[in-house]
Amino acid sequence: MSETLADVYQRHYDNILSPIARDLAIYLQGLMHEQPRIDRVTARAKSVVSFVNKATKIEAGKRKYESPLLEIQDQVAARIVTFYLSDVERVQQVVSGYFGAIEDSKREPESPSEFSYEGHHYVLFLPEEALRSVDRRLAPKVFELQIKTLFQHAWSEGAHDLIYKSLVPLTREHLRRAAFTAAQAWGADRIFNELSVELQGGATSH
Amino acid sequence: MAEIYHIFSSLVPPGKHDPTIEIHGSPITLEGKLYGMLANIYDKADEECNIPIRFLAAPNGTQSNEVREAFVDLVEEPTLERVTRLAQRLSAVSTARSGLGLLFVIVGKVGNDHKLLISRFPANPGILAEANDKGLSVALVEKVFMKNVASYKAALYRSPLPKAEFWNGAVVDKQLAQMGESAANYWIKEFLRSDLLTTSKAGSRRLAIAMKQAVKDATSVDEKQRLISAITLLSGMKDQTLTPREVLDRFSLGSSLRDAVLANLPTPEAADAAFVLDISEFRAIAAFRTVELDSGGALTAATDEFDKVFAKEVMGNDGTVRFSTVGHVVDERVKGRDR
Repeated sequence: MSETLADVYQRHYDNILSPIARDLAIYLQGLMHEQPRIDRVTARAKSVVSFVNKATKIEAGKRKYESPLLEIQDQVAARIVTFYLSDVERVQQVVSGYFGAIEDSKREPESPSEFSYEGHHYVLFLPEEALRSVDRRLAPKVFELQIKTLFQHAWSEGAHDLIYKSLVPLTREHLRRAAFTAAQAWGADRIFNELSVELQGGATSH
Repeated sequence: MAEIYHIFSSLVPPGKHDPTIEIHGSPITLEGKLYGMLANIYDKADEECNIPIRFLAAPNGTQSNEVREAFVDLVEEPTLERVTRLAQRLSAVSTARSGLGLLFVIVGKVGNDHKLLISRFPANPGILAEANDKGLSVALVEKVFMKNVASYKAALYRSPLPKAEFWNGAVVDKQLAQMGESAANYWIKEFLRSDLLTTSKAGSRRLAIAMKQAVKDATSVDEKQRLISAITLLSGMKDQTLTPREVLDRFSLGSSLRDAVLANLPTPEAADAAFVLDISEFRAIAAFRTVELDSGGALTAATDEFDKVFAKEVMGNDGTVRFSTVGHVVDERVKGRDR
């Protein structure tokens, strides 16, 4: 019986991606060790279900990915969650110093009157430190890194299953309510950042 | 075994200050002595191109790099027109100092991998000597292209799916080691719009951690001191492009100390990953503090651990201090006077 994509990926997940995610988290935690106001630094291997769903995606009548193991860039993904918005900028500077990026983008709604997902996304080359336990020939070359504030993180976690992965069609009312929560997170981030600047000197204070 | 499908060549004059220069190129027949020489270079490129590099993202942060895209197009559909565009790009960054060059583009496959080799041979003067019926004819030839000269360059890319994976490759740049970053600017940064795969900070931090750990692991005072000396002298290599292996070779640390440092790198490949030494980053990790007292004693420990290793007690107002530490003696050495 031939192996399914899920079988192949499960093996890849166990032998390659999980060890990389573990060692990447350790490396990133080391880099962030002396940085103030970091809530958490995590890394994970993409789950089998999530990978198979993405890998079998159809676009314009054909499979989006010709060779998903080579093309999907978030098989390993890491996240750094900071307290305030100014901390995101500081962490970005650290990340730029230690990693080569093939993508470096701020994700935010296009329309100024829209409130939704926000965060800073990178696609970065995996460092040697993350490849110490695996056969590098089978390892992905890059991983995704997200840098978010606590409020951006909270909103995206809360909205992920309810809105982004919703199993039912979303009404205008659903979307308006989700946008309202995003606007509150956006506002809270700004207020906290202002308070941090006024009371603690902002990003420069440790 | 590599299979070569296409070889193109193009003469590349320096055109940085003269954009009107015309570029001429031609496909190369896949037989004969020239083909044999180029096939040999193609085969050896995996070993020879040993400096990992990466393409840079677009200035707006998106996954786009015009050179990478040109290389992917070349592999998917190699044409002389595409090679000429590449040669024009190389000409546009070549100065009089870079001189005239001969560009070769070789496209083929090794197993499932598409393999693309871009190489530049510099022009050098040579002497042509031919025996004829009147004796010997000797002439100076100005456009001789040789691989075994200091400014030969090549870039290699391999992947089963170039459009997804041609984000990193490897180069050989014989000027890089001799000239530091300036050579990289011309070939890696300007022509390839790339950079070293290992950033300055990442490489410097990695080397510092490995050397510091090797000091900790060393079982004799002599070994520890040789490593600490190397760490101190590394300041002289500030801003140079180097690999951990080159650093250790330059200090002639000997095979056992060299292996001890290399063993503390995260992977064997890290030993040959070139980076530009960021001495501040290096010192932030691997610095050793030595305190000498007028009693004749001297104490040394890693800077960030010195205060933990040695407890300091102020004995009086005249600056007298007492340092104390507790541990097992792991080595002891008597150093005689040098003769």
